[in-house]
Amino acid sequence: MLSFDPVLLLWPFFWLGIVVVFLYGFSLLYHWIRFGVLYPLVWFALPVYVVGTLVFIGAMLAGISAV
Amino acid sequence: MAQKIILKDFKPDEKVLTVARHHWFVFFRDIIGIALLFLIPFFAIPILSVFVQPGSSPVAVPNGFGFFFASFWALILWQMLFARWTDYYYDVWIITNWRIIDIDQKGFFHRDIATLLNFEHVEDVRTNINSVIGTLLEYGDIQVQTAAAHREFIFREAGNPRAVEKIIRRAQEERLGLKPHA
Repeated sequence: MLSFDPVLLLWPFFWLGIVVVFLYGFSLLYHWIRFGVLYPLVWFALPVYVVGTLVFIGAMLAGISAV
Repeated sequence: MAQKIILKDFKPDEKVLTVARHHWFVFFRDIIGIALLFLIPFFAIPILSVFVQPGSSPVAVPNGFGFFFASFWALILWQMLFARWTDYYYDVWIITNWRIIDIDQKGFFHRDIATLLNFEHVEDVRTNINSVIGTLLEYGDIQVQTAAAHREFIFREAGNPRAVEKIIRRAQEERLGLKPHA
């Protein structure tokens, strides 16, 4: 039997995911917004990326809450 | 291929002839790689569990762990997917009736832009299609040999390289005042 709350194992991974999202998200959004004039598809990619990212973050939280 | 692009330093009579990009298969290959990466844990975990004796697992995995880590892994790969797409989509050759602009995105925050200012400097244009899939799907390398400071312009795995080569040759002939051949 575990003598500690298993959720404690998940939070470091959750915050690691948030840090990765922050780094990638900043880099992607910077490039897309700055050079978007030349590359019109970024305006379609941007909402898809944001929605997908929020869905996966939400799914991680749902996984934590299910423990 | 046609795309309305207006650069700040366009000459009054300058017009974009074509915008060359990597072939879609280049990105499709990346998608396949990322999809395989996503699936690896789903195959690896059952295989590893074969080596654990039934009932001898040191800890019981609580509900929600699998869902959490699948989401975590998908989140990371989602970021990688869009990073790859940006890298793929931002590599372009803009060919105008005056020049070739080679924009090479190398990951984040490394953007290499080279311009061949004058078609008179073009010595040779070559295409190189050297794989089965490249032959079937019509993609390959375009190489422009120049007499300018930037000796060689190479665009790897471009879509329809022969058509791009033809456009470059025709633009050069027009610039040099030669009669374009059909």
